[in-house]
Amino acid sequence: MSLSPSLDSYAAIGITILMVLVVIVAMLILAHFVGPSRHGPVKDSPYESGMPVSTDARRRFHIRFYIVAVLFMLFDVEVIFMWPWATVFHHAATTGATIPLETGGVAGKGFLLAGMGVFFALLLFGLLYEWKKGAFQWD
Amino acid sequence: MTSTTGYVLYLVFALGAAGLYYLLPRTGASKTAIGATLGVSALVGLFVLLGAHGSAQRRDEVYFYLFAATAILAAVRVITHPKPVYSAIYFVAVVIAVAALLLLQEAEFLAVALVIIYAGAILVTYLFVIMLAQQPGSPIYDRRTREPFLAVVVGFVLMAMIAGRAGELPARAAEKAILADGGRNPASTASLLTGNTMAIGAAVTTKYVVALELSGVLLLISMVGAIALSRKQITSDVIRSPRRTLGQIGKEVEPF
Repeated sequence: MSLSPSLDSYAAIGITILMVLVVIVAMLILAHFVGPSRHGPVKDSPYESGMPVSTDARRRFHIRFYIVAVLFMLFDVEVIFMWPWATVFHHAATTGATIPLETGGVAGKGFLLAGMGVFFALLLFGLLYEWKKGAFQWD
Repeated sequence: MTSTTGYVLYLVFALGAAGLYYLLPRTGASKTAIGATLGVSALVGLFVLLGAHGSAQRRDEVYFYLFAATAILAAVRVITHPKPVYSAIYFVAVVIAVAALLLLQEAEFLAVALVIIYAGAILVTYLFVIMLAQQPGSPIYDRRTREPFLAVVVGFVLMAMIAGRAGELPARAAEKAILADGGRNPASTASLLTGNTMAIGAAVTTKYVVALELSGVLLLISMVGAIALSRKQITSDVIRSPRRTLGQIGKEVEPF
């Protein structure tokens, strides 16, 4: 019996999350009880067979990482706007469907393309500005 | 909602506020046990109230309580955990639980957008800010809440006011209509052929096309702002000079 009509199509995601949780907990429990527990200066270092640790991991980072994060966030939001547009535009372009406007006219694929075109041009201008200012330069 | 239920609801909120107050990180003796007991009893009380006044015919109520409890508990951990990186991870749990609640309301696009924007982009920004500002060790502002009492009072009074009025909103009638329809949202039933994402896309690109372009301008402004704030070169002798007072560097370095 289905418990939730609105969640049924997402059962796969739910099962994946549950499986991930079970695997994580099982691995932690197994490692705790089955794994050998030897301690020493080398065993306790972060990279047992790797390079020696030079500094503390909790140190301040360069501000330019922050630009990368902010720009990623901005373009992420941009993609969120494009996604619903893309589904509508694909539908309009393949079937010739139109959306009625409040003014009385209809919006076809040309209207949709122009609307997103202006939006995209604004963001493209921002991208070129960043490029010019050297935000992507990693020197 | 009767007035008695309203007062019981306010009582539950007061209980939750007291619980959260004791749970917030503090110096001195830890009162986590008291806070957890009060908080969990408030949560149980809230759910009992919701169950008594909710709609019995909804079959996905189990999921609602599961994800609502996950969201609330993870949100409490976001503000009570002394390590900021752990708080950020709990924030992801809040976002995923809220996304599941949105899925229960058949708002698929909003749910996925929430995960992509918040668990993706905003979290990355949070982590970068934490890394940029991190002091070695465990500083005092991570171990102690600055204004625990005022913060809790303001937050819970606001929440109680919103929750107390929620029963009187006109949306209640719409909800009843949805429930009479067998728990499906009539708005989404009408657009089932085209889908939730497409309905949003049609609205955004026609009726709200000006708002779409304005948000593009807003994104452009934030891009320019991010560059202007962080691409400024400050020579090391300006920073190290001991004679300069606070705010002096901003006057000496050329604006972007």
